[in-house]
Amino acid sequence: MMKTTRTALELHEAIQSGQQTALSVLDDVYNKIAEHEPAIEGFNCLTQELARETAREVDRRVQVGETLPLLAGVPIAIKDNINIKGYPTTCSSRILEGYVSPYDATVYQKLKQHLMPVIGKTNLDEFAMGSSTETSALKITKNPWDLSRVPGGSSGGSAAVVSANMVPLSLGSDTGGSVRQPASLCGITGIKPTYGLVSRYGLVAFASSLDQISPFGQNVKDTAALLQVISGADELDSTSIKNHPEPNYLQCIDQDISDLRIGVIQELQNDAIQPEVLKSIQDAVQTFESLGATTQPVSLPSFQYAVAAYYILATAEASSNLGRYDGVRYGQRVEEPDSDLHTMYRKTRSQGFGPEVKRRIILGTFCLSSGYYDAFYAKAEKARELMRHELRKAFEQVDILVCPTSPSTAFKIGEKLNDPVNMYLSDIATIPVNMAGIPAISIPCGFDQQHLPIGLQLMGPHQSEARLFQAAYAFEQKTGLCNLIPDLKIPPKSEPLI
Amino acid sequence: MTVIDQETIDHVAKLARLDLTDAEKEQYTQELTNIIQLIESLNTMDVSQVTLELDASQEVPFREDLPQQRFDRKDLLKIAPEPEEGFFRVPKILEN
Repeated sequence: MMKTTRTALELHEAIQSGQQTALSVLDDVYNKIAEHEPAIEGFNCLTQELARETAREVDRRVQVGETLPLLAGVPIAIKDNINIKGYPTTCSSRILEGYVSPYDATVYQKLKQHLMPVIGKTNLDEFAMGSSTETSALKITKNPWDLSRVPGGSSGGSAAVVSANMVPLSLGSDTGGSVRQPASLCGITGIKPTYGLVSRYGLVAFASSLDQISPFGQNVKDTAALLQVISGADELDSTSIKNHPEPNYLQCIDQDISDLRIGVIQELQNDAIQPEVLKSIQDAVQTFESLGATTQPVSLPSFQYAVAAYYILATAEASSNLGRYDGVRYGQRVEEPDSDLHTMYRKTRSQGFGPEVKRRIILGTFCLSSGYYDAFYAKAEKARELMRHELRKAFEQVDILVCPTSPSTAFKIGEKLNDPVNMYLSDIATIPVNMAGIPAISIPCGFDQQHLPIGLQLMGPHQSEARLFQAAYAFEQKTGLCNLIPDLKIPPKSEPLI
Repeated sequence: MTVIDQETIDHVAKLARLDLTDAEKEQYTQELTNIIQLIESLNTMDVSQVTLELDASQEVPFREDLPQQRFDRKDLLKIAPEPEEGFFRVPKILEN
């Protein structure tokens, strides 16, 4: 159905001009959550007090005639692997039950500086490991377009609550597609920025060389504004990009794209992709042509190795990063009388981690173990270098590359949970982007026969976010797809929910 | 082809400080075999021309090594499973 409520940027303007108070905007959000959250189950916790405090400050400043910072007053949800001091960070894992963060993530500090009320923390695959949000130890989040289907993952909660129009904006994290794939499956916009554009300080580490905090929005402009708010160098993250000019994506977002050169990735145009998705991408390419862009096929043979290389590198890094959950300094501890230190470690970890996390720790530990390192880890690093090289070459010929975000639309809850290889292949089109550290955006480009959203992915070279937003915005203006939201009044299909 | 057997799983679980049940061992042996099969597709890739170099595009940032206090000791001990007199208590690490 058509969306009739204000966009994030319109809400901000309404608050600034005094048409609406930030507190009333917040009330609307919590009312919608009360209405839809029981069916969607996207939130791990709500942070009402924190949100109200920020909204009151916004209203106070409006009353004294202050000019507000960008997006002030606009409510936002954040993924529950980003720390806010004084609030739980569960990563949807039992091992962090009871943990209360002693510090703020840099992105939260930025939201605070911009006076954006944080309304709650959203569900994810445990430690962001998954493509469906089903590996969460806490709850199963549903896709608002069809409640018997997954919202994608790992940032499924953040995608679902924006898609269901409970809140206009959210943050997720993207290590191999964890923002773009759920954006695609939920019919919203999500961008994985250039590695280092957004500080990772305070994001719970999964695979540090790939992780990047990434925004979701209901349209391209709102998403661009949010990225503008959260990006920037940070001395607390040594991998954050220094001397990056302060971005102003909004200023030039409506620039003409008739000089745009688009490459269509051939390796993602085959029978592994759902036919309706392929068709929709071909239509999208034609839409770009009608806007004056030139298109050409581009071949990137190394993409066929992306998933293999990713599952070595990401699990190797994860097995090391998750070594910190040992029951000593924070989180759960499982101890029996007279047990020694190592037994305590093993009991704590075995009972605290769920099956997918254990699977990945085992795989990562195996790939790094003596005798296998060269055969796996070293080779995967080379595959990564090959991908970077091919992408550099491709971006000499074209400005952006297009392909489907996900090989299929949203799948059924339970459908892939016991088939890890099949689940891992959901990320086939998104992984190369993290491997190369480049930015990519997913925007809605159509629906399949079951009225499930299809996502189009646009990739660009390092720090080409402004260009990606321009292309995405031109496409969105032409198609108007961002104005469609799921009709949650329609009862779910007859098949039973799991 | 790399073979994953239960012995390998036992060894890796020990390195990763995980206790696995018999059912888990069996499950992971099978699943890892499938995953390893997938990742062994890398063997068909020609990487003879690829050299791994450090990414020199970004300078390694340095900052002054000044003492700073980001956290309060009391706050950190509050979230510890078993704090004791300002320390983290752990089970015994030495034999009697």
